[in-house]
Amino acid sequence: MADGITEEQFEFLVQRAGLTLTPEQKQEIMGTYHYVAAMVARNARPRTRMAEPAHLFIPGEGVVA
Amino acid sequence: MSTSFTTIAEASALLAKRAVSPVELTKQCLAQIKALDGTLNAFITVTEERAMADAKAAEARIMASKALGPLDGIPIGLKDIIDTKGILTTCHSAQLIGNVPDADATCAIKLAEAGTVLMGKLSTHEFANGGPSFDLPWPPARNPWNPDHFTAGSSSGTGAAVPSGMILGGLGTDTGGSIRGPAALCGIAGIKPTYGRVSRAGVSPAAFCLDHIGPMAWTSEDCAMMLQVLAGYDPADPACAKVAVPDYTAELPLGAKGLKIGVIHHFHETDNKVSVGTQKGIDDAIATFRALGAEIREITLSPLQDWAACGSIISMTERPAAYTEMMKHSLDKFGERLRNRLLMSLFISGTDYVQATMRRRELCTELALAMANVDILITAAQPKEAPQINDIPQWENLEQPNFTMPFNVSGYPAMSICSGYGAGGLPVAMQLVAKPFAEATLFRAAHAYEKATAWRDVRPKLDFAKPMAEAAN
Repeated sequence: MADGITEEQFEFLVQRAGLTLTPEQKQEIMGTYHYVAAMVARNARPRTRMAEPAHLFIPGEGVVA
Repeated sequence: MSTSFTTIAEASALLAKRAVSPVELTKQCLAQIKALDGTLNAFITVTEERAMADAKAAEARIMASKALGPLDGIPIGLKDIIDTKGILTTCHSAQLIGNVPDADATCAIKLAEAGTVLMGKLSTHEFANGGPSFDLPWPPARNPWNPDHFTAGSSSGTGAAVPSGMILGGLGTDTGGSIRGPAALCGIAGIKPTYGRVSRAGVSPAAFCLDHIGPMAWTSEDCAMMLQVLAGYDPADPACAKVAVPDYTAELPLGAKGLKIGVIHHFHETDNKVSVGTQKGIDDAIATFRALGAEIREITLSPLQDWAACGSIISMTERPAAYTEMMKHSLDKFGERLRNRLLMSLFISGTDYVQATMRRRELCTELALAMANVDILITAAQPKEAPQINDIPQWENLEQPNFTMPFNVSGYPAMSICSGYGAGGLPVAMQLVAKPFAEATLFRAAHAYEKATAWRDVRPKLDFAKPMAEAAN
């Protein structure tokens, strides 16, 4: 995830989500990008391809592992 | 003093020996609501007619020696994201004005079957996220210790209603701290049980794999009594656990002697340094536990910021997934704060989300290892006493990591209890954590602490009281 986001990149994300935002709303949300980028960076550390996500289930149990 | 200021345990004993009637108790709670809720805004809907009918039915059972159990005749409230058949359920949002469910949530059914008296539906942050908001159809709840101050959220109405004697106990929900935050700032006890311990069926989702339902009351013993009724398998909730429910009050008399307690000093002393009052409350509590015969150790985990990043990315991704249609077709019906939080999900990719769940597995493994040789963990529940309600920055939750999210990420049971009074006489709190499904141990430790200290003898003065009609003007 890059440090910043362009208006064009953000517009693509808005359209992909099927949303209609006002210019003011777009500016407000674009200003929060750095918060999300910092959290994503904390989670994304080097892992082997065998690393497992937490969202696994046991067949027949229906309980999140 | 009104019996609406008794604990559930005390009221239950009085009801059992017919020293007080459920109707009398309910009328006293209704009187508190009428006197105070014009200021505190704890309720979205007061169900006076239902409450009186419930109370009369409880009274008839008790007089016929057919009480349904220790909660029969106890006045309670439900956070307004919990479905109630035939009763307005709004999630505190313009999106659901006029929404009347045709079925009860499982937790509402369980409390009704235990004989509780439903006083009404309680304020929340909109869809349990993003407050305090002043642009919603109903105002935010205010703190009974000082109504100029915040309750925290999102179970804000429950946090306000319990200490002010409007209800004796209530339900909250907790996705990142929404039970423990209001419990802390409002000076009561609140437990987020183990993930899967209490059915989520019929409760509006926030983030599916972080959502928990739990009780809030004046004492940990009261929470234990409520959890006894709420816990258990429910096939209507795919995450509900098939784990036997123990007697949650059985361990209360054992005290803290012999408990092994780990303190996560770095969470509240370095990662997010707490106020002087909060730190003193925790330090004094550690000394109290030691004096009671507990063994104290230091525990080190990954920084609080890691837990917050993991939980927040999962939460921010899952929350909008539940409200996609509302976002597409009526986005502007959300209040500004929730709308903005939902829109932040646009920045999160599928890979980002999976990376967060991989991190979750790592953090859960780390916590399990750290707790291998301890029964209880202690850290803060909130960074400081309740701030002014008008001074809450919109993005405060992203500026500093909260103390509660680690135990939504891990699913471990965690509880906030009052640990004293700090600046301005406002409550301070600490958080206790136990191993999965070890809620009984959590109640044991919390109860021992509450009995060894005087904090449960202090109620808010409520000297701001004014009638609802006067407040409305």
